[in-house]
Amino acid sequence: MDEIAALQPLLLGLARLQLRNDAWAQDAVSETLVAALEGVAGFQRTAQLRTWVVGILKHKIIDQFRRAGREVAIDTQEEMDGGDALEALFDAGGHRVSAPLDWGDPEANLSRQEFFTILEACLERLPPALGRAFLLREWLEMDTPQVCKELGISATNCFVMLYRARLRLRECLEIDWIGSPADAAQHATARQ
Amino acid sequence: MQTHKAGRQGMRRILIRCADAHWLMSRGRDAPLPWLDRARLYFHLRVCQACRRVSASLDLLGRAVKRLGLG
Repeated sequence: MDEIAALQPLLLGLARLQLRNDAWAQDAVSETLVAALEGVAGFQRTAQLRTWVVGILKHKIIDQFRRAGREVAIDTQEEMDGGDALEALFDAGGHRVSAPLDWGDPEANLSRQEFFTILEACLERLPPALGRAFLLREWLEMDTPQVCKELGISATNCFVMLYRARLRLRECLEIDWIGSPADAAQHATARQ
Repeated sequence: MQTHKAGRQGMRRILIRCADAHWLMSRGRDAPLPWLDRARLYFHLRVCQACRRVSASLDLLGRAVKRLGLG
């Protein structure tokens, strides 16, 4: 019971990232806590418990999307493409204006809590429509046609939004994580 | 999305630009690419370190996001 209660801030943060709506996030978390309390008996270790509760949350978030229905539908071009932040990546000939950095060893990145803190900050910075699309696809691992359906958009728009979300995220991480000298130094020492 | 269409002009053109490669990398994570696009991306990645880095970072992003909240 205490262990489940302690997960509240984590669950709320995740639900907010995906749903981008406080009331919906609260609902999804409430339902998750109830379902977790009902099923908790068989779980002892905290790591397992957390994985299990986050798994419940993912289902409850999808339920919440279904309930919200039309309200999630995207109606403005600005929301769909999130402005022109990516136009500067390429020159007129389609070449990159600046070379992307080497992100180094994936495992070293994934083993650092700071990487995830910055990832979450970058996810929050995405326009809501892009953040929802990206997390539906990559976090909740929904099929692309299903993502388009949940968001009420065409397949083409769906691919474009996911593309924009990915590139904006990687630019954000490249600047805030890979490109920051202090973190780069930590990187080098993170390989144990 | 004018930058992305260029890769499809000329049915058999295999060599693509970085902008097109970025698009195909992302597109390929969401649905299977047609064989010609797969070939285009493959040939481009063989010769372009910049796009290989982007491809690796998109893979890492996908893996990282799946671990959100799991500590």
